[in-house]
Amino acid sequence: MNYVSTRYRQNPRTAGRVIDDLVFVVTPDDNKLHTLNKTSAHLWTCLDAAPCTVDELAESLANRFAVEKAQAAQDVAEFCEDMVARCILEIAQ
Amino acid sequence: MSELSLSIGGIRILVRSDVAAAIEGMRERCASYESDTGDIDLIVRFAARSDFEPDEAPLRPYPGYSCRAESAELYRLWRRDAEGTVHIPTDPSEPIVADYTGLPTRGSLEAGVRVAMSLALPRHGGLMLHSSGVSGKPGALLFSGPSGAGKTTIARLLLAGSPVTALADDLAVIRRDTDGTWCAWATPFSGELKPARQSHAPIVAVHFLVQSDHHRRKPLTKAELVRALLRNMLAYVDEPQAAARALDAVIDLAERVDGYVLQFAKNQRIAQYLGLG
Repeated sequence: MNYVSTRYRQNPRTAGRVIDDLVFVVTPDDNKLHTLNKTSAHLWTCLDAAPCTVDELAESLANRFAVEKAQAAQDVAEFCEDMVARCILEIAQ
Repeated sequence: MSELSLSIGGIRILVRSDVAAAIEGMRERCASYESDTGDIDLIVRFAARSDFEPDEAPLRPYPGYSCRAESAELYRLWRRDAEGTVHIPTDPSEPIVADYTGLPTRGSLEAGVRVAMSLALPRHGGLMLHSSGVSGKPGALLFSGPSGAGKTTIARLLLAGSPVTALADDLAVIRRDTDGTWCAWATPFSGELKPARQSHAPIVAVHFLVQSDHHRRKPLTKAELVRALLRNMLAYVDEPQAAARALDAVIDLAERVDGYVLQFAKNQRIAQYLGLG
């Protein structure tokens, strides 16, 4: 996976809402409810505005939570891979 | 063609079937819900087929309906003895129409009405919750959980031990009024309890039940309440718009009512514990 140029976006077939720093996402295709924690919720909210690369998400995460960008990038890459597998995110064409 | 005109949870429903006995059976069960006032919100039509066999095997245990969203406007439902479609028009002034065909039993007709209602309610700012409920001076208290959690048991204990009336036994309709208040409505979809005719009350709290040897109530955070409500509502969310409506309804409800995990012992002291005795 080329994380540098790959842009991720919210799967338009999902329904998600923020409550109390968490995000609840329903993936209708498998009728599942997913709960995203505070960090994942921040990333999911970033993707609400426009598709983003791992680097862009890592920058936002590092600024928001005062962490090293390199570590943030690794966490974001894992997050995106997991979210794509769960059909919460998809790769933007 | 026989027909029956009802109002359940404030939803006006017209039920039609070519099997008079099925309609009369439902009329007997829903006697206190008959109404011919107001515009029709939901039409349920049931055509009998004595040689019915479903096209697909049901995905859910009988008597549940399996459901698939063909689009935001069209749902397909099926179970062992009936199948049908529910059409939700994009124009909200037009009634939702459910068309079923199958074996003409009271169970298949009533279940068809119940499922069609669960699809119609979100359009009217409501949803169905697997819960029992009682109505007293403070308002409606709902008790939710899966089968065997004790929904009917706790309702019976409260009815015997406090000045409350039955609102629901297994399924409650909850709807948001125009002023934002969420109310619980009695329905005829009950087992052992007989809710008062057409009654409804503003919801004070929703409790999620755990059977125990003592009484203890623990408040839920808003997020915990949202999760618990989503797990216990009767809703088909296999289509994005439906999922979004369900989420919005549940989140709004969680903003306005209190939620608790309620451990309860099978004795009438629960009424006093909940401040009803």
